[in-house]
Amino acid sequence: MIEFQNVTKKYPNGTIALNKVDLRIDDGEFVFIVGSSGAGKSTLIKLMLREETANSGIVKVNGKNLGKMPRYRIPKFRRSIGIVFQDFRLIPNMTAYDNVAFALRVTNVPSREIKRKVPYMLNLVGLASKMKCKPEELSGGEQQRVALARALVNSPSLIIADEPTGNIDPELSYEIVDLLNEINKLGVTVVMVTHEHDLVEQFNHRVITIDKGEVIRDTEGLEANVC
Amino acid sequence: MLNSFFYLVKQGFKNLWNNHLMSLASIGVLVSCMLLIGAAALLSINVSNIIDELEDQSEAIVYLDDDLSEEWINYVRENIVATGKIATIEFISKEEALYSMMESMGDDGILFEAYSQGDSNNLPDSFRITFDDVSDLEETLAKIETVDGVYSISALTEVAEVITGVKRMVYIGGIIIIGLLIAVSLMIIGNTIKITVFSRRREVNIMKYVGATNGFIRLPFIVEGISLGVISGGISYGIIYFAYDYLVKWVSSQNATWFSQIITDLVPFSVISDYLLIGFLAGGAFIGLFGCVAFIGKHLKV
Ligand SMILES: Nc1ncnc2c1ncn2[C@@H]1O[C@H](COP(=O)(O)OP(=O)(O)O)[C@@H](O)[C@H]1O
Ligand SMILES: [Mg+2]
Repeated sequence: MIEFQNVTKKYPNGTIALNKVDLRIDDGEFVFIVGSSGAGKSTLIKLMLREETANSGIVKVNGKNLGKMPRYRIPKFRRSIGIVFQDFRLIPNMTAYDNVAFALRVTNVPSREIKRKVPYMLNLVGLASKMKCKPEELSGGEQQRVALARALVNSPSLIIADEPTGNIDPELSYEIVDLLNEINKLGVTVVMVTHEHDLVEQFNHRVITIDKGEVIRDTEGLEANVC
Repeated sequence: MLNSFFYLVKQGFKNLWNNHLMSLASIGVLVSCMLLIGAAALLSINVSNIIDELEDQSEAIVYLDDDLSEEWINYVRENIVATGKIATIEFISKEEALYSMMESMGDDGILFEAYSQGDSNNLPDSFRITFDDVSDLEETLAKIETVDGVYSISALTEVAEVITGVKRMVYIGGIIIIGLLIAVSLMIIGNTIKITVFSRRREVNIMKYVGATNGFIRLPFIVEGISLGVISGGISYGIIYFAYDYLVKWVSSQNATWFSQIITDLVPFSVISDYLLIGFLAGGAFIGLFGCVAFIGKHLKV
C-alpha cells in the first residue's frame, strides 16, 4: 500500500514540485499517473522510492514511513520494489541474461537461485530466445522487457514504472503495458507514469492526474465499478 | 553474502582492466610519488646514519676537583649518568691522564717524566663521556657542571649544535615532503575513482535501485583503489631495489675522492628492504583505500 498524506516537496532551488498531495494506492491495484511534463510525476515516484524525502507530510510505502526510515534500511526496502525507467538503464556490455542476473548478483542471492530465476523471468517477458543478446542487438521494446524482467526478478510486491513506453514505438507500447497488466493479475501492485492518453484509454484502470504538483483528478477504472 | 562479495571484487579488477589507460596513468603518477617518498626516506635514513656516527664520536671531558674520595667520584659518575643522554662514561685518573699525554707527545713525552713522581702531577682526575643524543647538549652540560665535585667541562658544543640543526631539518623536511607527496597520491587515486564512478554511473544507478547496500556499491571502487596503490607500491619497490643497489656499489667504489671522506658507506639495502617493501605495499593499499573512501562520497550519491 502507498499512502501520501498532505505531502509537499520543495527542491532546494525553490521549485515546489508537489503541493499538499493526498493519495492512497491499495495492494493489487494498477494505477496510471498522468500529467503534462513538469507536473511532478517523477517527483512523486522519487518520494515513493525514498530517493527524495518530503518537506512536509507523510509518505508510507508497504507500511513503512519513509520520512523516518534510516538510510541503512533503504537498500532492503528497495528490494521489495521493482523499478522501470523510460531509458531502460541496461548495462551495454552485458547480455540480457547478465543484465537481469546483475540485480541478484549485487544483492546476495545465491547463484543456484540466480540460474533458476533469470531464465524464468526472461521467459515470462517473452525473451527466452534472446538471453544472450546485448542491449544494442535488441529493439526498444525488447530492451524494456529485459528491464522489466530485471525489475521482477527480486519478486517485488510493487512495480513502479516512470514513462516505461516513452522511448518505444507506439505499437510496441501496448505490449509493455499489457505485460504489466499480466503481472498485475499475479497480484503485484503496478504504478505507471505516462503522458500517453491513448495508451491509458486502452486499459480500464484507475487514473490519477497531476497538474502543477497537485492531484486534480482521480478516476476509477471501469473494472472497479463493475464489482 | 560471499557470492556478491566475490562478484563485486571481480568487477573491481575488471574496471582496472577496462580503464587500462587511466589505470596506467594513475600508476605512473603514483609510482613517481612513491619513488620520491622512497628517495626522501632513504636520504633521511642515510643522513641520520651519518649523524649518528658523528654523535657517537662527539665526546666531552669532565674535569673533577682535586683530591675527591672514591665515594665522591662515584657520586659524580652517578649524577652524570642520571642526565640520561650518556652513551659511555670512563674514569681517567690523573696518572692515566699524564701517561696518555706523554704517549701522545712521543719522544718528547720524557720531559714530563718528573711529574709522575710523588705529588707533583697536578693534572686533574676526569671522566671521558660520549653522548647518544647531542640535542640540548648545552643543557646537559650545564646540569653536569652543577654537580658537586665537577671543576669544569670541555666539549665542542658548536658541532653538537650543527648536528642538532641538521637533524631537525632532515626530520621536518622529510615529514613535509612525504606529507605533500601522500596528499598528491590521494588526489590521484581520488581522481581515478571519480572517472571510474563516472564511467560506471549506470551500474551504480542500477545497484542503487535494486537495493544493493552502500558497502557493496563501493566495493568495486575500493578494490580498484587498493589495487592501484599496491601495484604502484610493488613497482616502486622494484625500481628502488635496483637503483639503490647500484648507488651503494657506486659509492663504495669511490675511494679517495672528497665524496668518500664524507660518506664511507650507505646503509645497506638489506637493512631497510623489508621495511621499505612493507611500507610501500601497506602504504599503497592505505592510500588506495583512503583516497577511495575520502573521495567516493563526493562522486557517488548512494
Ligand atoms: N532535482 C531537482 N531540482 C530542482 N528542481 C527539480 C528537480 N527535479 C525536478 N524539478 C522540478 O520539479 C518540477 C516537477 O518535476 P518532475 O517531477 O520531474 O515532473 P514530471 O516527471 O511530471 O515531468 C519541475 O518543475 C522540475 O523542473
Ligand atoms: Mg518525469
